Amino acid sequence: MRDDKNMQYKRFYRVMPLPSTMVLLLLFFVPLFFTLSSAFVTEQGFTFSRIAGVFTDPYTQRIMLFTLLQATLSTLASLLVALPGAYLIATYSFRGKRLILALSAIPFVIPSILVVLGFVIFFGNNGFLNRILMTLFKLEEPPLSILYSFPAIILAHTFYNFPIIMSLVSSYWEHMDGNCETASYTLGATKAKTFFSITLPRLLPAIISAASLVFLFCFNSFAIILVLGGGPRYTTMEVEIYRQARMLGQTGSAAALSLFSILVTSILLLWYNRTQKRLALSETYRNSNRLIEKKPATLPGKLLALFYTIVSSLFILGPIASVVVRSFMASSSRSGAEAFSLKWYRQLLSLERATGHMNSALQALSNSLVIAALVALCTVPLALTLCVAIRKKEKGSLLELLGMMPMTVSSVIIGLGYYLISARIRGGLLTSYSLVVLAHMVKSIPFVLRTILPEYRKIPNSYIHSSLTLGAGPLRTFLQIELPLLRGAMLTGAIFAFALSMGEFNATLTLANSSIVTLPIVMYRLIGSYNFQGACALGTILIAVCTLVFIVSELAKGGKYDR
Amino acid sequence: MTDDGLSCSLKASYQDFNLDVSFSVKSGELACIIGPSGCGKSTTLQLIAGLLPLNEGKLVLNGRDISHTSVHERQIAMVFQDYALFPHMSVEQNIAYPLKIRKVGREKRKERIARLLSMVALEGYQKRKSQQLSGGERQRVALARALASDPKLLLLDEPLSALDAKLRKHLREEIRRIHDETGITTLYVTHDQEEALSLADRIIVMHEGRVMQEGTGEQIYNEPANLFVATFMGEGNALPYSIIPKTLVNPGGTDPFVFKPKEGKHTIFFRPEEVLVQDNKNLPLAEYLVHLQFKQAEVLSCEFQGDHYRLVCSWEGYPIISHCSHRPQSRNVTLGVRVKHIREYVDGQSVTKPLLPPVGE
Amino acid sequence: MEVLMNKHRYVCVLVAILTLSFSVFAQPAKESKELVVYAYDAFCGDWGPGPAIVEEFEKQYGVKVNLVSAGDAVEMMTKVISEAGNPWADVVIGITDDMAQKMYDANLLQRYESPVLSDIPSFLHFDPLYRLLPFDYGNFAFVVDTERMKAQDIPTSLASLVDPKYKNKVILIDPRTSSVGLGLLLWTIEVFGEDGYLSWWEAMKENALTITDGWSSAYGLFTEGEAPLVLSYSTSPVYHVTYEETTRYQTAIFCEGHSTTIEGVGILASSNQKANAQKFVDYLLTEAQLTIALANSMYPVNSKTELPAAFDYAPKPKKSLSMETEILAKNLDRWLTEWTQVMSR
Repeated sequence: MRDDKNMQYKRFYRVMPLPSTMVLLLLFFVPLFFTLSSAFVTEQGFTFSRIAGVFTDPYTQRIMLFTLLQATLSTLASLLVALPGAYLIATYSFRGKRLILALSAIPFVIPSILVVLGFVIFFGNNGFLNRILMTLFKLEEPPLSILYSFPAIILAHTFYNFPIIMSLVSSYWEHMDGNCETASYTLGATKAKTFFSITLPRLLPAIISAASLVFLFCFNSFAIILVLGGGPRYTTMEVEIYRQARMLGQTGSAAALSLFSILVTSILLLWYNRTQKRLALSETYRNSNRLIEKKPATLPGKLLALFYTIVSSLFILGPIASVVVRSFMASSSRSGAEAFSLKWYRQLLSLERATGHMNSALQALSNSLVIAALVALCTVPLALTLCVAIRKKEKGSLLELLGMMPMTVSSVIIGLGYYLISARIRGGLLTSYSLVVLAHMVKSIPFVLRTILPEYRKIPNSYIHSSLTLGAGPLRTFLQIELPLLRGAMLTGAIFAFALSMGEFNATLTLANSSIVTLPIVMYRLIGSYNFQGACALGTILIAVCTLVFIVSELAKGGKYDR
Repeated sequence: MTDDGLSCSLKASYQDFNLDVSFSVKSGELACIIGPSGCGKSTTLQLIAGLLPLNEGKLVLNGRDISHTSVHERQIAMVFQDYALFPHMSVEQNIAYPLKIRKVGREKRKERIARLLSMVALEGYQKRKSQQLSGGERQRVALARALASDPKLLLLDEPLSALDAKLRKHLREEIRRIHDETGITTLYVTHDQEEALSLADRIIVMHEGRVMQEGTGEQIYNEPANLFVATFMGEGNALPYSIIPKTLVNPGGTDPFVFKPKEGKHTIFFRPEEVLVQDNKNLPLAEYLVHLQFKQAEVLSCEFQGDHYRLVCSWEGYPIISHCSHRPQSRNVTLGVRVKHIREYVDGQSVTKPLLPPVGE
Repeated sequence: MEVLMNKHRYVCVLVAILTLSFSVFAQPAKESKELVVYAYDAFCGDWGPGPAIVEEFEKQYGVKVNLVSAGDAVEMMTKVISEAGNPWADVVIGITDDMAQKMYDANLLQRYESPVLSDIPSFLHFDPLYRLLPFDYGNFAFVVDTERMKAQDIPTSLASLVDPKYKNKVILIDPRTSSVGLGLLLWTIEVFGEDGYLSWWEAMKENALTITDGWSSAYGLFTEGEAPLVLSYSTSPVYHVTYEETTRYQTAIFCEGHSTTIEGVGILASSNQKANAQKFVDYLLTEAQLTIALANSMYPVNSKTELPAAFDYAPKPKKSLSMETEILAKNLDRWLTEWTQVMSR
């Protein structure tokens, strides 16, 4: 079967990606263009010298290499941890599976400062893990001084990112036909060989999709690297961009560095796209849930599943749980021991010590929820239209690259771009809300795109052709045939968009002119006024609310399996 | 170009080959496109359905030029090789899909679905899901769904290739029966010659993007217009013309033979079932007399086909396939063939006239 | 069922649009005569001094104030500068003496010699042209966790911090990404001079547990007990004394003196409410001083302000060090580059 690209409905497919392109254009590309163009402008006028200087400077090259190195290693580590989990989820049914999937978006919800804090509380030299081990084994010194080193960076990145790989790959895996594997077994191959020669290559579209997201995230990572890495030895491009833009106010230099970053990541993305296309075989689409049957049968299988669950729980839950536990601890008296207490929650919710009457934590929570819901609702259709255009149009891969761009650019640079917007647009509450929602959408589009695209590519052309020959136009075909087959992916995408929006901080602050206060903003304010426990309490509320939302949606997704 | 039914002349250029076909199918006819893999038959179907753009050429269906109409407006239904049943819908919903598009009311829909399902012998299957159906059942649902859209032309793209032999034979009959019942113009693509020969009112043989011959099954089989069709449809023996002097036999009292080789590659061709096999020197010759005789042909293999034996023999290095009613008793046999069963081809094209004047049969 | 799902989706979007549009109608009419004040985010938050100050000011003077949070101090400055063509703010709060040069260069501020300045000690008048007036200040200092460090081990000078006994016991902050970290960098330059500061940092590589991206992470690690010494402000213990009722965290006073950081407030030249703006600035420098000191955990500039007992735990250093804004601006890039070179080896 020839591919779809030559179909007659050029006009329909040309129109489809327009809304998302507009959003991306207005809230990303235009501000980005203005900010980046300052890289070419010095007092002498238009020049390439600054860019050339950046590219050829050995220091810049060194940190570029380091940034690439840590991103690659982090991605590989996340893959290593995530794939067994994806296998377990895709193949077996076991209790708590829904919960694990529901929790996989939680890391994105938490602002990075709490991630760092959670890590420290759990893995730190004075953290839970070490303290438990020290009391258990009666040690003097903390046995696991993992933090403040290069491995700590990889560890933290893995914590943050492996759930998304697990989630994306497992949902793709579930819908894969098992016939090839069965054929392989009958040909005499072992399970291991089958996995590496047959299954793994077939999984590559989903793996590459998720891995590219993770890579980009780690590439632009900032706080985690500096704090947990231990020092300037581990400087990344983002740090240098931050330094130029914030400390020195040299937008031009920051823009030049950013261009360098964007160039490198775009090349990598293009390479990813190439491999993805080659591997996008038309898989037989299996909508059935083959999970219902199996439980790990053999003892080694059971042990492995158990071991994996424990270790990954340490990963996912450890830091999160630390934050939660910390929020419930308070000293009851001057130098008394810490004990369970709801003190911080009482403070938060009744505004003890608050010197003003502005937004309470509860209002911030409702703001965050409303914005996040809107973002989820709007990003999914937009990303969908992009997916359709990517699949059907000639310049599909260019669109795919454009859709991924928001992730390749440093948040500092994007922030600068937002200043341009907020300087020109000064409206009321509605404008602020819209801008914030749009900015969050721009940030989520790459994620939702990556979630939906592999699944979308798997829908066989014959389904679509079939519908057309039966008399349905392209719109009807899209709504009644393609869309229902993407429900699971859309829901996963919506969950991630929701999570990203809940945890987003920078854009909200810049664009909202403080008329809108969201939960992360309140969290940072608490931290800024020494109230770390309060921030933990708020973080716990945030995690609890999001977990609830995610569990509900996982259940909703589960219901769909019966169709 | 006829006014009714389908008439198409398609020209298109692709990476691997160029397509240039032109044929017509009468209204109500069941025509078959057959050819080896890669000859362009699926591409032709897709062009007719509109799934591929037609840059050069013309497509007329029932008097209407549909060369540039959109797919969903052509009223052409297609059944795909993988059946393409929508997995998120039940059988009933799948068949209802085209009916809903045409705004058929709920009661009427139920009625039509029931009628269609009984036509394809799947009564009561409404609530089942496609995952629960076997291959043959899925194919029939796909057919029912295509018929539900009330098409002016039905395209079937190798619909039976994924099924086992017995099922294929059975469904073949079903398809023919349904076609006769509904009277819809049908174009059927297959690579199975048996299917084509038994099913079609008209066969179109394609090779490398071109139509090699168009005609009824008998015409295609008995009077292949070129060597490709001759060797592709059924089995045959193609030997160079130059062997004739070596094999010629004079039946008693006949006129002298005229051996006239032509310019270019001159080939003779005959079917295995027309070859007479004599396996015992001592036994008399077969009932009739042959014109060409291949003495001392060594039997290489003998396959039992149920109603006959298929022999592959080697005569002076040329392989000759023949059918025999019994297993040959000796290693070497004598093969013979009559003139009226021999066709001549020069450079692949048919130039047949009788080799010798007919001798009183 | 699928069609129902789609209808569901459209309904949701519709509802969302309706909800949004309600907020349009719920929005009160814009006051044209409001005083727009930009401040950094911590100032504007519930736990910052902003809301209370604004409320009081509005009550006293009947002027409507719109307090706008604009990110941290640097982001706020960037915002103001980028809005030069279409300015909105009348007053900008929170530009420190470290970063003021950029503000001066942008030439957006209006000179204002407030009558209240006489109550403010002269060493705090960091802008001779009074484009920026100080409203609070602090000293950078190392805070020590007395439960994790014995009294005799508490360092008494910057120089002593390099002692091997402090290995992995100090949390520092990166000057490239944090103004507090930058404060430490300048402090070391002020104490050791341009020739000596790098060797201090080089030696500290051993003793630093980590060098964080900002004050929040550093102080967070500190309160989690990862290390007993952290770079912060000399006023940090005040918070713990007041709200946690513990004197566990104390300031280490260094004999070489401490570097000061002064936060300033300025009126924009583009403002069309200069009179109200000046009133606000005066208010900030007088009646609002106590609120600011308490909420920000910084020292008030107004010497007449009476501080609560908790501030006894925020000792003032014997020597106050500072650097001229111009010198800073000229050399900052070079210093940061040199620092990076030394620290990344």
